[in-house]
Amino acid sequence: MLNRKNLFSVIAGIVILTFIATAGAAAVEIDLEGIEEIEGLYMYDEITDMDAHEAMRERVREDAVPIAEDAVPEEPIEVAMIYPALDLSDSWARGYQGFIHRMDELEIPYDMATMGSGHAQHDVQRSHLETVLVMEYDYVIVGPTELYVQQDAIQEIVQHPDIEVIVWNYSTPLKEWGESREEGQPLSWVAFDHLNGAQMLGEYIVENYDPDKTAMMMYGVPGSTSAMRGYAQKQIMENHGMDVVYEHYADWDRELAYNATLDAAPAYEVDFIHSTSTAMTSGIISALGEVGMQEDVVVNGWGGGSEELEYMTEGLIEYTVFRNQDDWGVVLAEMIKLDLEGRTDEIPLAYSGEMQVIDHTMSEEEINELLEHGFRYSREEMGLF
Amino acid sequence: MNNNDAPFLKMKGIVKRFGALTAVDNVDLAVDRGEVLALVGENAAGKSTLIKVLTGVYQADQGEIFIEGDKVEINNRKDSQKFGIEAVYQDLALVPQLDVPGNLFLGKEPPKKILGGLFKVIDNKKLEEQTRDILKDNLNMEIENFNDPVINHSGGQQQSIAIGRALASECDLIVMDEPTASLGVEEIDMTFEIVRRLKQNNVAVIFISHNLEHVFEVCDKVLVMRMGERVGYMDIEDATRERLVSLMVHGRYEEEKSEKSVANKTV
Amino acid sequence: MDKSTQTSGSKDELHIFGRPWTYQVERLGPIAAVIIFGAVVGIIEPRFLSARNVINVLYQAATYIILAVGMTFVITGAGIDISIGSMLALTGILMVFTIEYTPIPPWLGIWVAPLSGMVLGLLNGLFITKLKVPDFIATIATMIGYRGVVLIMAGGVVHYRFPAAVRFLGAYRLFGLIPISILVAFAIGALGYYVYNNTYFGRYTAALGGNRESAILAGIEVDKYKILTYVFMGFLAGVAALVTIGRLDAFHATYGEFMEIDTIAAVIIGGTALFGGYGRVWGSVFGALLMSMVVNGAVLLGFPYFYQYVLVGIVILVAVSIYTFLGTRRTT
Ligand SMILES: Nc1ncnc2c1ncn2[C@@H]1O[C@H](COP(=O)(O)OP(=O)(O)OP(=O)(O)O)[C@@H](O)[C@H]1O
Ligand SMILES: [Mg+2]
Repeated sequence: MLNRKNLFSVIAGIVILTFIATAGAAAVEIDLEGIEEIEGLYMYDEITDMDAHEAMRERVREDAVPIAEDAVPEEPIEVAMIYPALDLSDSWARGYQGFIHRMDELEIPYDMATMGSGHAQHDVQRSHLETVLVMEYDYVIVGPTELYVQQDAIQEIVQHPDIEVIVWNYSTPLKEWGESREEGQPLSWVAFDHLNGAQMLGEYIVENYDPDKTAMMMYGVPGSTSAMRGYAQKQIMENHGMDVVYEHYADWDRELAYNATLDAAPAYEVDFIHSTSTAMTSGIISALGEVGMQEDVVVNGWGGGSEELEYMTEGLIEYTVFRNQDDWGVVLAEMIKLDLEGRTDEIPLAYSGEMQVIDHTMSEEEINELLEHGFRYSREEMGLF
Repeated sequence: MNNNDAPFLKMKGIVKRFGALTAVDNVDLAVDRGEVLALVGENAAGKSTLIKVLTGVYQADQGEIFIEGDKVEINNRKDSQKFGIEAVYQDLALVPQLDVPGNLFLGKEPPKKILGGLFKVIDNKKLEEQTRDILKDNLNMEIENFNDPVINHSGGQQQSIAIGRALASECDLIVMDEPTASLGVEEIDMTFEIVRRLKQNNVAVIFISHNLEHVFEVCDKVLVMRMGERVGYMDIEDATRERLVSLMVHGRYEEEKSEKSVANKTV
Repeated sequence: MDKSTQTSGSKDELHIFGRPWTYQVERLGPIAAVIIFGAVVGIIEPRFLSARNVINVLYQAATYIILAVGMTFVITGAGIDISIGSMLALTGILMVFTIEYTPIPPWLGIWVAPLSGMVLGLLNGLFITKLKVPDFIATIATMIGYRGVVLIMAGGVVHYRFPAAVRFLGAYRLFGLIPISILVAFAIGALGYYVYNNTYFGRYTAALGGNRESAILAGIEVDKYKILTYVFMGFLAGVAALVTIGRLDAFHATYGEFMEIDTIAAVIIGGTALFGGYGRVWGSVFGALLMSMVVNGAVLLGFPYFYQYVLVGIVILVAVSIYTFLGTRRTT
């Protein structure tokens, strides 16, 4: 919607490139100082006990171990899930599937209320957060429309003695809420860490592409997620020596990304288009096909949803960061289980789901193997593709 | 300058074109207080257009308008209202959703000051009183439920309301464009009654109608139009049915020359 | 208009308290729906009527009530304003910037929102009347344009934690109980009702929306009143911005997106004729309240999210069907 290129070129300009090439991987650094959208947030690895984090990843990877018998609640626990669903790629839906199936496997009896809103309906979500206090659910999973907008309402729920909160789609705890649950943090923060994803993609680019390339950035809605997935990425690319010639906000929307690509890709003759969501990737690919540039332009995916993997087998995208989509639902169930068992200490304060960069060189078998695991719960309802 | 001999209204050499079409072509018209002038002509003769020029809905391309001998400019409805000209339009011009008082006094609602004169709002109570007066005194009509929207009332009642609207303000000239078109017998009589009363009250009336019976019933003078032009003008005593019809259709009557030659007009 | 176009002769129709029964149903329908819905949901889920929940619903409704009152006038004047969400955001960011970046004290700075709203509304009105761009298209254009300015100004940065003057309207409660915002919303409803029935602005808006030609013939300056409806709408969008920002104690560039849809829905549920000429201010107030109750009630009763949309859709359809069936004064 708007070109904020100049502003962020300045920011990128003050970043000092420090990259150490070691055997195998090139570590890339991101300077968070310059990014206003994410000021006041801890990165998950800054605050979390990384042993607990690794143990939780292990738990999520493994098959379910039912809840200890003496911890089974007498009444079904009440769970509310609040999320901005209208910008959903299938990742929210797969997360939901992962959650409910894992809850069943863990043999935790529960009732579930879902409260959605548009990604910009901040007032509607605020009303849902109020409703949580009226209904006094036991567990509340909330994917904020924007963390800073909803922080006060979420904090009020966190402070409620009988309600446990897991913030979803953010793995970046607010510094204001202290350093521990005692100081005011919720049960946990769960996401596929956007910054971590950007870093992984960055490493891949630095490793695989020469610097003398031009790039176009496709962000979503202006805000923290675009900042972490996009601005961070941009820093890395520019530090690598690439030239970001055009930036666009397409609101996570396929159509808007399509239109922007149609206009900008031929005009700027870009070599890269960096996308920050599956839906936008899909729009970018269609547009490139239209102007006959599919061969010349490197496009990435974000999230590795089924759609993206299909593109990759067709050679339409080069690489993506693949998230085990079901995992971020599975981990919610595992956290609830631990909490019910009185093992709250073992729950990491912030959790980033497992991701890995995959690219077009992967064989179909390898991809299928990834999917089998990543979509192990949601495939029943939603299939692999 | 006020000229006592001059008629209340005089229109001179009025021309109104819509693109290539000349709807009114060099027409003169005069009507005095207490006089009822019939304006007749076939469909599309230009009658409505001529009176819309008079009321300021359209601006004439050529021609002049005199009120009591003084040349005036009428560029919009406000101007014509200022000169005491009211009209009952052929297409009624009621707002279907508004109630009877709302329509009768649209644009002329009585004001009332509130908050110590800070704001001027509509005096709805007075509006209703005035409505009752108009209905009773001028229209001789009883409307139950006049707070219902006018679309809920019968066609005849709507026609009466449209006439009542012209009467609602003190005026010197009323134009009625086919006021009897959708009325029943009783309501037509009532309309004649109104016209006669206006005449008594020294108001000038221009009465447009396709029904010559009605013209003979209430009018003093007749002006005939055909294809935008004025083709005849006479006292009602000099008019016969055949003469008017012939003028309307052919532009002339037997050997009599119309005031304007129509010989070189293409049909 | 000949006899065949009449709907019903007023004499044969049953009248209640001096008005046709259809009118009374229309007038009392929205408030009856609010009461009945509240009672039914309250019986099934008593927490629906708990103080905390009622306050929540009122908080949520306040913004839409305020917007719906303005929209009632716009629609009555045969217009439509698609730009209200963008106006809410733009007036909001103008106010936020004034307070954050200028020495103007907050209690003065908050007036920037309604005042700038009037200017934005004036622009809408001028595009429509002077450039003769159809209402729908003009306000779609400004919806996009105004939003662009918001994004230029705010980007993706959330502004939050405002001084008390900003929070007052949206977040404070009278006696710690009744939200100020709902009191303001109802006061605006009452004001709107008075203005609609008693002022030249209200009467002429209805006239120009009902039959623009007759309004012109009656000597009404239709453009002036048309513009005024948009100015009034802009003013109220600014008030709604204050309420929203105060309640959330935060500002984000996406504020107000899709609010026009819910607002128009509230106005239609309230009984205002979509094609102009006839507005129901209290209907809009209760229409907005009903919408917010339906969403909240659905959540409390455990309807999954997507079913909530279906429910709201049904409410709109039922309301419009009833009005169409009653068939009063809905001429196009
Ligand atoms: N606004 C307009 N634009 C273009 N043409 C017009 C307009 N108004 C009237 N005309 C044309 O001008 C001519 C005269 O129309 P006008 O309505 O004055 O006739 P009339 O004598 O009143 O007819 P009727 O008896 O049917 O009412 C017609 O050909 C009509 O089509
Ligand atoms: Mg005519």
